[in-house]
Amino acid sequence: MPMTLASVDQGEPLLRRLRRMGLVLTGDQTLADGILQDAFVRALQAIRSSGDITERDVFKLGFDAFDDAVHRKGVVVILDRAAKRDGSLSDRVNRLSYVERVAIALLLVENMSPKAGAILSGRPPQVLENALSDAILKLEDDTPFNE
Amino acid sequence: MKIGRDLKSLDPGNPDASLKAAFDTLARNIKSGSGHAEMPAEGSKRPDNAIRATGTGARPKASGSEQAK
Repeated sequence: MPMTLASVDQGEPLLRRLRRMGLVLTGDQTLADGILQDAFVRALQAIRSSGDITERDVFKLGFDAFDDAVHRKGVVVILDRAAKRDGSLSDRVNRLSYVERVAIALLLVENMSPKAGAILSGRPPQVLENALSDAILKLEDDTPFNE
Repeated sequence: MKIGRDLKSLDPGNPDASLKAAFDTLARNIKSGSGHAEMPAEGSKRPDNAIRATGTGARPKASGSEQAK
């Protein structure tokens, strides 16, 4: 079975996929868009001196930018404070651990294989699969987390 | 899986013009036929997306000899 980075919705614009991944990983679309834009601008400066890139490179660029940003302590604190507690899907996603959000963003939304997700994210395949199972259980539970 | 469909349907809305411009500039540097056949095609809305030809995730049509195998 070939390693795949494919989204189920093939033909879905890359920018939309990146922004949705950012929303899942950071919980805040405005923040995610800012992270992406900074990453694009920095990448352009490098690309002009090094040549062509692939679509896969751009996807990796986006993931790494979100991954780096979320691990800055200040960003995490702000995200925790900003999160709405309304029981919506977005709220429930925000309540997941970060590795659970990575797992659903890559394995569930992007339909990557665990191996491909592991290569992209730097997390072992088994960790991602376990995190995905835990995340699905939490997300499918309609009961608000704080009840 | 319903939760998967729900997550895929999360709508990030329209991108800010500056983000779109930065992405479009970057996307112009995406080379076609980059050997990443496992990478899906991007959407059809961006006409300068040359990766579409080989990046659909679909395998290229087998040649006659391959079909015979």
